[in-house]
Amino acid sequence: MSSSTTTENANGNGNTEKDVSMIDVSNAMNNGNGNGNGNDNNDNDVEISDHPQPSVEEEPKRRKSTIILDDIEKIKIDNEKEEMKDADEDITMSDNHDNDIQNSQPNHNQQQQQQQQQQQQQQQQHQAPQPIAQPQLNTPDPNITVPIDIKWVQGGEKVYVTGSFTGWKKMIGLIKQPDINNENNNPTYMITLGLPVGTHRFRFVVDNELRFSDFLPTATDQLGNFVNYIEITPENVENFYKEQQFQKEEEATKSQSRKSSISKSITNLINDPDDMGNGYSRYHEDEDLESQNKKLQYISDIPPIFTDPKVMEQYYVAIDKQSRSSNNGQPQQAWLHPPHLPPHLDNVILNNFNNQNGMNYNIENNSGALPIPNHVVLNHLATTSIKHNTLAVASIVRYKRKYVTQVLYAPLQQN
Amino acid sequence: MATTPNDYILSLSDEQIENDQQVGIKAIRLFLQSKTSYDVLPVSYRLIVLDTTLLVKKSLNILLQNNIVSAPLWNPQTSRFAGLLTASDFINVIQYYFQFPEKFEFVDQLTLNGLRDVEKAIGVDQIENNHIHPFKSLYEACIKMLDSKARRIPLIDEDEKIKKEIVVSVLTQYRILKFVALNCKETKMLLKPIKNLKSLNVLNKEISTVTMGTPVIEAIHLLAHRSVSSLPVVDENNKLVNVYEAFDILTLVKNGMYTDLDLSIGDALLRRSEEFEGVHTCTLNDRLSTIMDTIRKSRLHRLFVVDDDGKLISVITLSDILNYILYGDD
Repeated sequence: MSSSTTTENANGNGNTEKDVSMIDVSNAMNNGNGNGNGNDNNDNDVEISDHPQPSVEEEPKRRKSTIILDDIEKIKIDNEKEEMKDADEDITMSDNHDNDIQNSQPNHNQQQQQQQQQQQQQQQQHQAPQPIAQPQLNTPDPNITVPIDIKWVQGGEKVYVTGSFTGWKKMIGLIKQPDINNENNNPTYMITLGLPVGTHRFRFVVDNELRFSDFLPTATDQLGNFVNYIEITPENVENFYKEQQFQKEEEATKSQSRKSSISKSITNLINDPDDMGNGYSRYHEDEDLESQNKKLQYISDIPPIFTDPKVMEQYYVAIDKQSRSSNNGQPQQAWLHPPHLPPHLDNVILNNFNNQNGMNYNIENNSGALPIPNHVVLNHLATTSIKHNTLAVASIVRYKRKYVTQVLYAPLQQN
Repeated sequence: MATTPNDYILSLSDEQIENDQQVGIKAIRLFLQSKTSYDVLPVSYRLIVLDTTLLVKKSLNILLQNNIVSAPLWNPQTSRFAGLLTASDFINVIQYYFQFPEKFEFVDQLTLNGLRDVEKAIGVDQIENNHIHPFKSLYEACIKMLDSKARRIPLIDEDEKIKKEIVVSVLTQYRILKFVALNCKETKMLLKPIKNLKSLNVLNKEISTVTMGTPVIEAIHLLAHRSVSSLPVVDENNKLVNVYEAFDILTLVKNGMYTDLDLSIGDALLRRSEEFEGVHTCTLNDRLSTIMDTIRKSRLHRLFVVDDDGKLISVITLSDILNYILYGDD
């Protein structure tokens, strides 16, 4: 067909217009997340931002469910920090290396001296307990962690790991695995850490010497330090939680080894969501939450609340009362109503068409032209209410570079 | 000296006008060949489709609600496009009901699927089933429309994934002509008076007229038998006073459904919506350039040719214009 040149023209128009709508979209998306389901805890995924260095005061802004910390709560946090430290010592001291932790500063200095002989200068910077870098860029929810086995197989007697997950401040002792030897007859040291999604940088301290493993991925970080790193992706988390279900069953058969029980306790420690690294800790609104979660189990019966209208009503009445009695009713009330449509779905361009018709648009609009839809509404189904046994459904689909909003009228029952 | 555009045109020799006309028509043809139906579609648009299991009377209300006169049909059993529902289908139902008044129940419960039986019973054309691919040229679409005497043509494509046909849109003669008028500056070269355009045949055209007193049912029969979309309403002096369109019948049977057919046209026209666009007229000395300009500005489906006293001489339909553009006077 000889239409190529002119078609380009038409397409060109289409393109630019679409670009405009794309920009709109990104805004709409932000709005959507901002205004959308406030009851959805996963919102934290988006809102909690990268740098785990903010002061305690900054934190509440990021967590919707937390409003403002008063003094009591601050104290609480401080207490929690103290507890944290205690717990920390419990673990790292277990190998009688108290000094390593308690006098961590001198220790570092020692190490630095040693390094000067053996290692390049850039690594010194690393050693100084500066708050290097942002450990968890794009971290979604730090509460969700995956247990990762960190192994050291290159000899030594006392093996520790330190890294971005502890803000480079704490050293975590690796446990010698008695039965596992590699080909060089070096013992294997291992620790299981619960790590959130993100890239974690770390190094090993072996007999007071700062080293990196040849058996783990290495890279140079932003300051030029050569480190081991591990990347936890959301997929890792997903897989882990799938496996977890499986493991629970295994647990029931009591085939758990000593190793796992140790690693578990350590996992819990590192996993402690209060520890955000760099001495940064997090406020919890509901401390029971975690223990409650553990009691959750799957059942095969449908709870009566979903089947018996009376129970359902009682439940709603109870919840309604509850939400009224407590003034910050929003989270509870969210249970009562289905979530609102995201705002970008509220703008139904078909409704626009009728408005246009109302305003002398008749003559202009005999081609059925509509505003260009936001792409997020494509392939959604819109419906009318059923009138006179007739239902109209509409969906916007792409046809090549244009958008067809097809409205199909059909009878409710086949006549 | 040419001082106004009109003076300028009058100053041209017949030869020059003839030459311009030929150049203009050729340019428009090339334009129609270079553009596809897809090009005419807006970037985003609405398409109303009716399920063939809908009752005829309900589908009528849907058309009126949406201010449209036709809609593609969709057969849910076969998942296929099932033709185009137009005003003439409703006229067929009315005629059927007129012939078989005892079958009120049947007509009342008639579905769009059943329209074919009705049309068979009164021996008229089936639901329009002509269609064209959106990426075929407008020229081909026009030829198909002229061949089938259809005023609109559905654009049908096949979905790449499910390999089933999809209705993309419906193109009318008016939209194509408006597209030409808007985008083809050569329409300004069509300066020949319409009385001199042989294929428009304005001087020997047979037109059926009605008067304000004519019963609606008679107009309906005329519309059906002459397969026209409208009838000029004239007074006793053959002066054009109004038009009765197939669309008016839709509004008439909307509520009472077939009970007001013995009304006179005058009474029936009182029910016409206030949004009625009016009757477009032209004279024998008008040129296609001005007609195309009118098409660009306002939605019209035909122009009645009147003399200086407003007496009806002839009619120019959009098909006439398309036919002239495609085939010229040869």
